[in-house]
Amino acid sequence: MSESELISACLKNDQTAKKQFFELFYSKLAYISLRYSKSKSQSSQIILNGFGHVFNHLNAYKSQKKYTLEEFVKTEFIFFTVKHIKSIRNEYYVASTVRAVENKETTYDLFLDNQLIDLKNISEDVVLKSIQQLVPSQRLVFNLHVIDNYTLESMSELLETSVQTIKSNLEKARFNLQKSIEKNLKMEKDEQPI
Amino acid sequence: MSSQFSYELDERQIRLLMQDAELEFDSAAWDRFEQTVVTETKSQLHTFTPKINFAISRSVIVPAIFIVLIGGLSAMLFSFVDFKKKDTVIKEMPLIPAPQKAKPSTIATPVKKETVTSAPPSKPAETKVAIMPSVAAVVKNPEPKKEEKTVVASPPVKQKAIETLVEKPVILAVQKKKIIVIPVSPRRRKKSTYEEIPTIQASSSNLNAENTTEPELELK
Repeated sequence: MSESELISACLKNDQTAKKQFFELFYSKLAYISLRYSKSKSQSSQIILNGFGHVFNHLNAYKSQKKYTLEEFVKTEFIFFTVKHIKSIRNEYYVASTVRAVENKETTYDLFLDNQLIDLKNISEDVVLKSIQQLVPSQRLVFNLHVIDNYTLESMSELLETSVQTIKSNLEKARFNLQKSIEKNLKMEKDEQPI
Repeated sequence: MSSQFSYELDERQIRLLMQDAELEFDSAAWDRFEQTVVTETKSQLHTFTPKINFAISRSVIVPAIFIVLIGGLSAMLFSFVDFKKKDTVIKEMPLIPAPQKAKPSTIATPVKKETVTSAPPSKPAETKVAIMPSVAAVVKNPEPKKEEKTVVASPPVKQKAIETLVEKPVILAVQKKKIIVIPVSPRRRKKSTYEEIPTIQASSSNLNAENTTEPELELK
């Protein structure tokens, strides 16, 4: 089935075509949802609702010639994901301003145990875990700007915030991500059997 | 953030890592998706409330709400304050006459009376005003009966009399004063001599006895 046939079948609410479409884009969109969410349970909820959003907006793909199908599906899914995370207001707004203070004394001194951590050779899982540990506002900004190549202006439109706020969030995200990557790498090394 | 912080992450590498990353397909995911779609459609059928989304940003709504609030409050305040009354007071102030100018206005009253005489004589109030001084004139005049007749008999004569009276208002006022000033004191009444009326002495107590010539009625 060609791309246009698949889309027209999906628009006619053909379940087999929809399943085919789902299988085609699931793996990519599932990973995107994992990057944007804080946990697996949240990402699974985003995937299900996000696919519904994509199916509902397939009509718009026919009328435009700017994006390919993959790009169109990806942008629509990211748009939905951002709106979904922003809609969890108690998590999004409170977490961005208040941080719980842990009693544990954490030290991020890289040379404390005379261990050199190479930040240029990081595994995919460590980066994903570190991104998920970020505060929602910082996670969104980092994902949009660094991974998905969104400009600051388009991000300010999407997040409905000023460019300055996005810039400051991006700086915080970079700092916190590096610290959390260091921490996770250290933990990974400690857990490894000798 | 500390000033000693140096960003060592290679963002390009992270981008390449994350952009191309994929998850393994989960066959159960499609079943879950179908279930959620079915439940959503059912819930949509049950709830017929239309979803209205206005794409108005917060920067528009918040100032609009404030403007409405301020406008409402100011309208409430304006409703308590009446500006029209103040305007009327200011206008009336110059119209208040000075005490010196009041007297000429009272003198000018006869002119007003002329206007009253020009009106039709059918109005009762105006005729009364005109008649009152004429009655006073009757009191002073040596020939009162003739004047009274002229007033009652012919209305044009009455008008003439009114006009003459109107032309001399000051005199009329004096005549009025004279009428009021002459009251009859109760002492004089006491002093006045009473005339004794002569009593008639009847010749006989029984009057019927003398009238014998009158015919008696015959009773059947």
